[in-house]
Parts: sequence; structure tokens; C-alpha cells
Amino acid sequence: MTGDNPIIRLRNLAMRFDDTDILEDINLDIRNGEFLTLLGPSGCGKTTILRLIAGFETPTAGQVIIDGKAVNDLPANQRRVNTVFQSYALFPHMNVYDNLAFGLRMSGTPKAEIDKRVREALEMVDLKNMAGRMPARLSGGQQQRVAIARAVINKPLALLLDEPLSALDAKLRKRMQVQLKELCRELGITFVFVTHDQEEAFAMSDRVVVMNEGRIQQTGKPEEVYEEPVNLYVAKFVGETCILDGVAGFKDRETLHAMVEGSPCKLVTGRDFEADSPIRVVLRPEDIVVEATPPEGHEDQLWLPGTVRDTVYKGSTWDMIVDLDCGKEVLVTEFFNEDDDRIWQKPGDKVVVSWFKGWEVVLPDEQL
Amino acid sequence: MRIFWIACRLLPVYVFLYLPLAVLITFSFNSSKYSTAWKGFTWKWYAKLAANTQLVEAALNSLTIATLAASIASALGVLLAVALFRYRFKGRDLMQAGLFVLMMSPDIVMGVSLLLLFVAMGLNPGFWPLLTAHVTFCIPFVAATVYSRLKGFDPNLIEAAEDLGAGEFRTFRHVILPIIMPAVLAGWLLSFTLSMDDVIISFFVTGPDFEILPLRIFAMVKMGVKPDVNALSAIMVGITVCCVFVSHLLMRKRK
Amino acid sequence: MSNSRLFRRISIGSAAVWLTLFALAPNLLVLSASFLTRDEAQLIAPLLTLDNYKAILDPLFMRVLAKSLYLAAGATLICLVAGYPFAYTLARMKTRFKPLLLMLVMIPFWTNSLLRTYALIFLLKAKGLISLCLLWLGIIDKPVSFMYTETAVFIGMTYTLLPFMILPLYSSVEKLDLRLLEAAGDLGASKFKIFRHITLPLTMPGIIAGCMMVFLPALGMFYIPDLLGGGKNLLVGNFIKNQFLVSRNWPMGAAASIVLTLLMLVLVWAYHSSAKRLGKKTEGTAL
Repeated sequence: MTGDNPIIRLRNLAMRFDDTDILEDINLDIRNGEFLTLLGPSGCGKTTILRLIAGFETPTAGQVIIDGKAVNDLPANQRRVNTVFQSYALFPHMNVYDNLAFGLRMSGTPKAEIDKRVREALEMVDLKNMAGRMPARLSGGQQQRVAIARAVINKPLALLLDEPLSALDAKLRKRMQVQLKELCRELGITFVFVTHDQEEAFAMSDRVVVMNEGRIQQTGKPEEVYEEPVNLYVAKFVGETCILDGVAGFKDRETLHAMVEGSPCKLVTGRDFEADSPIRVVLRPEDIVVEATPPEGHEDQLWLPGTVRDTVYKGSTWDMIVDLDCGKEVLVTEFFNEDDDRIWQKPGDKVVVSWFKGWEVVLPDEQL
Repeated sequence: MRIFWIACRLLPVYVFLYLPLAVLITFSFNSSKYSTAWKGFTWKWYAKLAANTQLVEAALNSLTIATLAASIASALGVLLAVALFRYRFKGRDLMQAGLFVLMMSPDIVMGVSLLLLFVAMGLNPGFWPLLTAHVTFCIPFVAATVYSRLKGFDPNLIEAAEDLGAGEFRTFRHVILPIIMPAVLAGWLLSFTLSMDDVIISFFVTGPDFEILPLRIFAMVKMGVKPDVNALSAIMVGITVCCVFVSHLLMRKRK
Repeated sequence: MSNSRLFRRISIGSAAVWLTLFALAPNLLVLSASFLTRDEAQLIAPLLTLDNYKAILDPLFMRVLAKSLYLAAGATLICLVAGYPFAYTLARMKTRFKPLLLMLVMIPFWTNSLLRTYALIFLLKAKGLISLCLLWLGIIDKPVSFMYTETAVFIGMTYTLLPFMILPLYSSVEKLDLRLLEAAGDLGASKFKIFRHITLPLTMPGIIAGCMMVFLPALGMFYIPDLLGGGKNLLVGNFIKNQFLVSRNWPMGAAASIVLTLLMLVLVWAYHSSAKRLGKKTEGTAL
């Protein structure tokens, strides 16, 4: 099996419930061994995709293919994927050992083999001494590890994780993110992870699937999704943005001549735009340059005048909020450098704002 | 002062509820047969009770029916509650509404309807009609008790079991049943008590061949106050207290 | 897989078959019997008629029905007035004795109501406790019996059915969010207004459930008038029983039973819609 082999394929999946479309036309190939995250706001259908793969729901249309076989009619107990639930769903009447052994017992594994694998799994998640504990007497982090161990012990083709970190506190969560990523690499099992937290998704995933209102918006590596969002929705959902309005002019190779916030400027983009069509320029806080006056040699750039409203010192970065004269608001992040002798702006200072050339993302204007 | 007001509101009701029972139990130990005056302590009415073969037989019949009815109703009620909780099927809402109506249905209506059914089926009043009737009126109570317990637990547990390879029956056997067990036992006890107490429905579906305790008592109390009936009542009140106590303990465990 | 489907079929099917056979079918039989003719030898003759319902409109039955409704409604009202403050106080109490106090209500709830009716005789008869107390207090000068009066029937119904009122009320008050009452007080509502506008509407499902659980059995409990009311034909329950077992007019009894069923359905519907308005499900509340 190579890394590019799709282990799970979703073909034209659709799901309707009570006359509402939960999912529409989902096509996705999940590669063997990758860490894939479904990212989106609550109610976007990401959990439903997970449940369709696990077999808890039946799609209204389309196909779920696991390991080359269509499994639409296969119930959950016969699919070789396992789920880690948001609530962990540990059986409250069984101790940790029995929880872990459950899946192996159901498949009729010999006793000695069960014992060996449970011990191994307990060691893997660092819970060797907890075998006899009841779930109610474990901490949240321990329960979570038991839930993961219970799922991977069956050597599934893929592990499905439904917001498993949402109940943990911030510190533990960060640690678990790293552990999960390592686990995925060590076991060589495909991880399909669901979250609404963009930072979490970026921190762990090989690929991210951004979803909204039952549709896939964009699939790609975290940096692709962040730096080259395909539409305004993705741009806004992942990270902070400043969006400027404009009208497209003519295009000369990679350069688009346009009017942005009422002034002419040149934009760098691979996309084609019809002349006179409305456009949006998406900028990230770290793309933005703030100066007191337009510096020499850069006068041909678009410099938007504005006033500093507030500055926020964040340790590694220095953030600034600038009210532009055109009515927009910009968040600027500059990496803090102690040796920098630049004079930092104070609230109330008049400034001009532009961006590093070529870092902007130009998108057609959509109604959102 | 607050305690005083609380007592003012609670005490009269408790007195009203317990005074007659207390008097009844006290008089079951009164050695005088007719008088309401206290003539000394005695066990003799209890002894007389034990010697009354007709009554003992009726009591044994009642225990048999109550045990069987509670067990069958528990089995059916558990399956029903689990099915209602777990599956979406045609007629599910109808079934739920039906159960509620059945629970609310006046005993007399259920009694005559079952009488009609058994006559139409050509069954003579007696053991089988009685058992069927008791199972029927116990089912909704078991189902409601178990269902409310099911509603309190994480539906992901069922999915987790299926996810780990358990089929529907093994999920039921290894995950659902152990978790709802306290509710099942409580439902069994409630059914047992309901069955032991029922007068009205039994009145229509059983005959002289198979006499049960509540009907025997009905026949006896129509004749007026008698000390052996007092003794019998005291025993039955005692049994109820035990049942309520045990089911209370079972339901408290859920927390 | 076939195995698991089998389990699903058995679990839905067994209960469905049982309930259809022993709950739905009997009631359909009653319904059809109520449109048939009485027959001396065979009890019911297969002749369609509306006579039974006409007979029900007859003053004779109407008097029974009216009396029965009066007694049941009266008992329900007494239970509500006596039970509400009790249930409210009990539910709002914060003491470790609360489970015990609640259990003391559960015990009479589950005690055979026939026995409890019987126990009342000790209090109501000529040399009973009430009579003796009144004598001792000097209110009366010779023993008075309360037996075989309408009052006795009232007392009997209230006594046997009071726990059935208290328990649903208790659970509805316990579910009440105290912060709502605090919020109302904070917004300047007086104690009476809080009760009228917050407590009362929010405990309405409990009130209706309690009323149902008292009113419906009260119409049918034939043994209370039999024991305390001197066996007079007081309740619909007695009427139905007598039609079936004494005068052997089954179609007539069936028609009366249908009237009772309709009455129940109306109340169930009222309960359901009031509970629905508060966004709650009806199931399981009756216990």
C-alpha cells in the first residue's frame, strides 16, 4: 500500500433529513495513512460524513467505498473503521481492561491474544496501571486515551475522531494534538479528524477539508488552504482577514489592473476576471505593511491612509488595529524584533497601509 | 419559624394519609373481635389467617400471577422501551401515544374490554385471562421506567458498541441491558405491586376457579370490619413498604 | 447481519403484537359492541343499532353520569387544593430527609387502594375514630356514623387518590428552574404575581397530569361507593360494572365505557398540548 492509495472514497454523497440537505455532492478521497481533518462550523455536515463512514447513518445518495468495496449496506459492526466519540462513550459498567477488550471479544479473538494486545495498547497510551479502574474514576484526559486505545486496538483501516479534544483544557489539548499526530505516524493508520477549530486542524493535519453548509469548500494542505483560499468563505473561516473591495480592469499576464477602494492599483493573481466585475482583495494580518508615509521606491503601490486605533503587545508579535479612511478596519501583525529600531505607532497616529507585493489573494465578489 | 410553616403544610397530609393505616394495623393486634376499644395485644388474628386455607390459596395465586406478570411485562416492556429508544420505524409515534393512553386508561374500561375479548375468544375467566390482563396493564409502566433511564444515557454508547463489532443483539446484551438493569428491576417491582393490588381489572377476567387475594379481600370487606382482614391488610401494607423501599434504592443508584 | 435484523424485528414485533392483541383489539371490540343489540341468551346479537347511545342520553344514565362527574371533579378539586401546597413545599425543601419524605408519599401510592378504602371504615363508622373524637370534644352527644353518605364517598376518593395528585405535581415543581422565580422577583413581581405568571403556567403539565390521574380512576372506582357509599349506583364505574355483571346488558355497558374512553382521550389531549407548549415530551411523566 502506498501513501497515495485512497483507503476511503466518498462518491457523490448526499444526505437529506426532514427535507433539509445535510450533505450535498460530497466527493473525497482519503489517502492511506494520512491525517485528514474535516474543518467547519457546527452544523456544516462534517460529523455526518464521519458517521456515514462509520456506518451509523445511511446516505440518501452516493457511495461510501472503504478499501475498494462499496459499504453502503454494511452495518457499523462490520466495517473495518473505528470511532473515537466526542463524549468518549466508554462503557460505564466495564473497567478499562474490559472496555479495551470489547472489540476483540466481539471478533472472537483468542483470550491470550486479547490479553497481549490489551497490555500493549495500555502501554501505548500510558495507562498500564489503570486496567482495573472504572471509567468514572478516570480524568478527562485518561478517558480520552482509553477511548483512543479502545478504537485502535482493533487495527482498523481508519480511525475516525469526532472532536475528541473539545472537552479537554487548552494545555492538555495542545499535548494531545502532538500525541495524536505521532500516533498516526507510528501506527500507519489513516486518521479522519473532525473539528471546528482551525488552529487545531492546521497543527495536526496532512490535509484539511474545509466545509460549509453541507458542501466541501476546499481540500488541501493547511498552507494551501491558508495562503490560497479558493473562495471568500474559506478565506474568512481560516484565520483573520482584511477584505478590500474593488473592480477588475484589464489583465496583463499575472498582473491585474484594478481599482481597489477607489484607487488604481496592480494586483498579482493567477485568476482571470472579466473587466468591470467586482473583486475582493483578501489580506492576512502578516501580509500588511504599515508606515508613516509611503517609503521611497514603493510609491507605485496602493497606500491606504488610516488612523491607528489600538496596539496590542502579544509577546512574539505586535498587533495593531488600523481604521482606514475608506471605512474598513485592518488587523496588522508584525513579528516583534528587539533589535528593530523602528518607531512603533501609537493609537491616534496617522499611517498608510499596504501589503507585501504578491501576498494578496484576489477573489471574485460573492454574496456571503 | 420556617420549619413551623413547612410542618403546617406537610404534616396534615401525612396524618391524613397514614392515620387510617396506623389505626388498621393497630387493630390487627387487638384481641377484641368487635369493639373499637383496645382489649389487649394478640397475634391470634395472624394465626387465624394462616389457618384459612382459602385465603392462603388466594394469596399464593396472587403471588404466582404477580411474579409471572411482572416478569413477562418486564421482558416485553424492556424490549419495547429499547426499540422505541433505538430504532426509527413506522408507527413509532403511534406506539408511544398508544402506551400513554394505555397507562391512563381507566381500569374499568380495560377490564370490560378484556372481558369482551376473552368471551369472544371463548376463554373462560381464570388463570390465563388474568395473567394476560396483568401483563398488559404492567407493560406501559415498565416501558416508561426503562425509557426514562435510557433517555439519561449517552446514545453514543450504543454506537460505540456497534462500531467495535457488536451486532444489535450483542449490543443489547452486553451494553444496554447492564446499564438499564436498575430500571428493569424497579419496573419489575412496580409491576409486581400493581398486579398484587389490582381489583377492578381482575374482577372482570378471573372466576371462582382461580381466586386472587384482592378479590378475596373485596368479598370479605364487603361484610364489614373483621380482625383477620385487618391482619391480612397489615401484612399487605408491609409488603408494599418493602417493595417501595427496594425500588427506591434501585432508582437512586442511577445518580 | 440477519441475526441483528432479527433482534430488531423481535423487539419491535413482540410488543406490537401483544399491544395490538390485548390493548387495541379489546377496545375495538368494545366499540363495536356498543353499536350492537342486547340479547338475553347470547349477551350480544349482531344487529346494528344506535339504541345504546340513545339510552345513554336517557335521564337515568345522565343522572348517573352527572353525579359521577360531580363526585370525581369534586374529589379532583379537593386533591388539587390539598396536594399543591404540599407538593410545592416538599419539592422546594432542602433537607436530607427529602427522599424519606417522598417515599412516605410513594408508599400509599403503591398500597392497595381497596385496603386503604377499608382502613377508612375505622375512622368513619359510628364508633370510629372521628365520631369518638367529636364526642370527646363535645361537638356531638351520641356516636354518629359517616358511613354510607356522599361525604364518605368524597373522603374515600380523596384519600385513595391524593398520592396520584401529589406525585406528578411534585415532579413538575421539582423541574421548575428556581432562577426563573428569582428573575421574576428581581424584575419586581410580587409573590402572588410570581405564582400566577411563572409557577402556575410552568407547573401546568403537572397539574393536568395530576387531575387526570385522579379524575379518571375516580369515575371508575366502583368499590368505593360499594364499601363507603352503601352500594348505591353512584359512579359510571358502578353503572358499567352492573351492566356487565348484574343486568347483563353488555352493549349498554360498552357504550358507557366508550363515553368514559372519550372523556379520557380529551384529557390526554389537553395534557399533551399543554406539555407540548412547554416543549416537553409526555412520556414517562405519569410515574
